[in-house]
Amino acid sequence: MLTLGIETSCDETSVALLRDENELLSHLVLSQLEHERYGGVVPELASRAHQQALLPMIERSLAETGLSPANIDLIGVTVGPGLIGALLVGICTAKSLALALGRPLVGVNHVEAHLMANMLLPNPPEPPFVALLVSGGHTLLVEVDDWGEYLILGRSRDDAVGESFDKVAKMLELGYPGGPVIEKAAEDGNPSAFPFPRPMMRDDSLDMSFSGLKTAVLYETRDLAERGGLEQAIPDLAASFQAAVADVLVNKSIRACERSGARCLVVAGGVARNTLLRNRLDATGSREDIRVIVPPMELCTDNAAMVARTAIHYYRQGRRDGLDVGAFATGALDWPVAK
Amino acid sequence: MDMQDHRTTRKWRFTLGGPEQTRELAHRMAAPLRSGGTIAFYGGLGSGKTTFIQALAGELGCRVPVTSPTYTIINRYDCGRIPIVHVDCYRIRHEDELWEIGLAEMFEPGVLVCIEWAEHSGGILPRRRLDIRLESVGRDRRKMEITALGGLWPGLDTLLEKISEDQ
Repeated sequence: MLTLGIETSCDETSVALLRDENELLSHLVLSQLEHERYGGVVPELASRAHQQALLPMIERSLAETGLSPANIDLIGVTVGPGLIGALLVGICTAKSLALALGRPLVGVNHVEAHLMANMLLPNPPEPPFVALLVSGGHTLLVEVDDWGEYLILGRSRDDAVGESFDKVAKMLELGYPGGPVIEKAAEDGNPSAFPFPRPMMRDDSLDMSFSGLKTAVLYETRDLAERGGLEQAIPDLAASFQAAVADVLVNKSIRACERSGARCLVVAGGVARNTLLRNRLDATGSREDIRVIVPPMELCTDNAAMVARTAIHYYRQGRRDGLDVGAFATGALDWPVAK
Repeated sequence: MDMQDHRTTRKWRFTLGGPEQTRELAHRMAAPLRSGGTIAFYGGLGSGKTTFIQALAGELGCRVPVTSPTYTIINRYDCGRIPIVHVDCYRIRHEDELWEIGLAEMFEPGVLVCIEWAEHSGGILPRRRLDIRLESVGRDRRKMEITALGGLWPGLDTLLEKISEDQ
């Protein structure tokens, strides 16, 4: 059983060939670096770049593994949430292939795929566990009671974590994407130099908020620019911002585990790349006897392996999507997870 | 009923003390919004655009959290008194991109379109609209300038007059 996975929901074009449930034969991810110049994902550019890259990537994947299109048994494609124009490129390609090859098609929810990526690990977490999904577009705490059965415990009420990294990096003129540049700038900084707020951290709910933190960094940056000394303060600003984010995420994640009784926490999304967050989660996890899993980066960030894995999971349960399947922009786990 | 033709322009200026007062003003302004229309927001990071729209949507009966559309560009909420389309042009660099992603089709009658970073939206905005300019002028101090371009929601002008008198 060979599954072709296709992911084009945001700025990464990705293609994967998965044999049966767990044998990843080929996995290609093309990060569209031209976005860097524009300080973020430009939707129209993203669509064009997906459109140029996708079919050559599928051809390369097949060539690498010595397979031909006729060997594909199932096609899985991300249908949302994401940028509509970008999603449509993947969906149209998937539908055309499904029609031309006479193979079934399964539409995949991108957020669920981030959770199911963990099924590809050699030692996968066993539900129930808690997942923290932190990326440019998502900030979610999800209780995974079983594969396909989710309960959203908390989410950001305003900005996504990755977005706040990007916006703070822009304020500090550090470049894009915000995560790595802030982490680098923070290396020589003092994380306690600026006592930035930890919004909603002591709040009862597991929801989060990052907009007020962004504004606090803005005020401090502006004051420093007026007084002089902004340049020298950048490492401290970056370190203090990062520390505030890590505090909130660690605190809420551990409380999510306590509340749901889970002994395992899985971190997914691009922000999982942040070293401070990982170290803090590891330390707190070992103190609280909670197993913390951060999958390898290629499974953490947007990728097609997770899409293929999700597609085969649902295919085995009998799901097939028609050629009329459409794209959707928003709604974390609402579709097609109908439980 | 204050029905001006589309060439009439009125302006109001307010000073707000921070997020709480931004929300309060949005709550008050929700009352006359009984039909669709366009509100364009201008102003930098942290000036209160999203805060205003969240409060407005909440007051219009939207019960799901209104989150930043920076990544998705366009979010639509069908849960309140009127459908709300929340747009963020932060990442838009060319007006063409807005046509490509279908923003023009969002200006349907009966839909309230709220556009953040309208500076980047070029000529796609309808001529008849409300412009809200927000500026953060110090810690917890914001300046707001509201411009009504053309006849908009009945009762809105009167309400804004009243709010500016109260200040």
